[in-house]
Amino acid sequence: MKRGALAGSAAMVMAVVLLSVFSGAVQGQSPYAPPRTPDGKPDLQGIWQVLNSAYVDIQDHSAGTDGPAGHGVVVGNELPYLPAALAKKKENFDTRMTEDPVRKCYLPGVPRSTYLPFPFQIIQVAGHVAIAYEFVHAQRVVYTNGTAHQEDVEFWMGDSRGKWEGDTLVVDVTNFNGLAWLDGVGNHHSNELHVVERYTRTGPDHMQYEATIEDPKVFSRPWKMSMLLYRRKEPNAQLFDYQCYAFDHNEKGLSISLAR
Amino acid sequence: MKSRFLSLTLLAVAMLSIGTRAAQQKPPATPYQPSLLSDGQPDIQGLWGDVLGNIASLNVERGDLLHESAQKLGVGDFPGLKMFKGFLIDPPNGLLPHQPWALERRNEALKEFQAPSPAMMDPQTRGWPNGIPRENYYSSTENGPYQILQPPGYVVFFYEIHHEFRIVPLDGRPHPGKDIKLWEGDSRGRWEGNTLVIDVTNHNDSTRFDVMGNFHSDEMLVTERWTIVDKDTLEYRATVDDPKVYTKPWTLGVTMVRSPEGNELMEYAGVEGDTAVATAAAIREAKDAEPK
Repeated sequence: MKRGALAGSAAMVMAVVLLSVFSGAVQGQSPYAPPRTPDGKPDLQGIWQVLNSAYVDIQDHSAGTDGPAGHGVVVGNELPYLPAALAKKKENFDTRMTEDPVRKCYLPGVPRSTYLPFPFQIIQVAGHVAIAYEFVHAQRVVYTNGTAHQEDVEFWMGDSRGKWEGDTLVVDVTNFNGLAWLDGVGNHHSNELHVVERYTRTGPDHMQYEATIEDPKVFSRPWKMSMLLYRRKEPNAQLFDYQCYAFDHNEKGLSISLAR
Repeated sequence: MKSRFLSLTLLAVAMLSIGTRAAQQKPPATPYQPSLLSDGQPDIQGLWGDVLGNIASLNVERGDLLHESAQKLGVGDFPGLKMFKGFLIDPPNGLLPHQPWALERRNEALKEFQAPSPAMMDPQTRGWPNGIPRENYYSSTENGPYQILQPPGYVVFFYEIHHEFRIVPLDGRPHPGKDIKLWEGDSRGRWEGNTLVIDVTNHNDSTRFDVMGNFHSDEMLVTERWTIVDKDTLEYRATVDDPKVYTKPWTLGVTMVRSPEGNELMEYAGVEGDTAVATAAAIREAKDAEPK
């Protein structure tokens, strides 16, 4: 009897814990209170980078010539491809060494820019969150000033409009040209891609990143990826430039310098 | 059509005025008092561009003199060049103080500027970075502005052209080691009153100053001075010190103006559409096929 009561109260404690975790998740609350920028918004600034191998494959994958093994970043691991889009994925896989836009040094798109093995820097001023990526010096300005998406213009990196939900930056990204891929094994999307990103600081040096992917031309339902961003802590950390398109010309002996 | 005519008119006015601008510039009675940001920086945020438009990137030197040199090298007539006064402030003769070997090298590129071979081609035509200072005067309000953002302790430049950026810390931290070479160099800044002074080091030797083939080595040091003179005007000066290529330091200057309120940066994906090598080859081939 006594034992049963103890078990009961343990269950009660568990229920309370679960309930609070659940409600925290529902309300988008984070137990960590991030520092604020001068205009009172959560401060997401700094140099960030993932420590995963989603750049190889966003789903679970073994080690191979493409890179190391890794847990996928797709929640539930399944990608709900429509039949024609699945065939396209297989074709992309077969031709990835020449056709992957990132291997051609093209703009990597969103969300792929986030999980390439390169750092990126978040910059915040009133009304704007700017993101500078080391890979091919890709850039985005996320407008948090209440403006609407551009009309009739398509971009490699999409058009980003953001808002704050509690301490989370929520970015709505549309206007994609549909030419970017999602990873190195040919996972792809169309120009009807709609991404909703969520950036939430979970500690001084960590940030939770989520991206909901919706693309009725390619997927039968929306799906989500989730991963952790780590702050680059080296005192001399800074972004350099990675102009990889120029490497090939140097290798072919086409001098691009007049000074040598 | 109308706006095209307007820009040509503005360009002509700008070209006429630039030669005398430096001489006319007097300190105003009371200097402009910019609003200050939370960390004390003068606020120069917004979208900006060079008042000259892309022509500045064509040629930094005095156009009529360069045109003469080009004629001697057998380059076809290029009347537009003759009208452009360039934007060198020092030396006052409007020509770059090349070392003799560097002038020869520049002339090799100048000879080919209309349809360059791959080895002579201006890297920016392939969609590669312009480097500093060119990135600034290549940008214009009509053909690709740049955005200045100032979070506490930094000045950040986002350039529309080739989606370049520079993140300039103001805390006096040291430059990286000299063996790290960068397309846009490495920038460290400080405010002197209304002037943002940026030391730019760690350049690679692959970028140029203009289409005419003026170039630098990887030992170049650039000192930029960005002065806010009124709400909508920045005076830009860049002093280039590169003893390997030039006999003395030299300085260029352009006026930067604000892009209209509400404008946003677009995406300029140059590398993705690069056909520069093939296009130049086709032009050369067509020229060779012309009856002599």
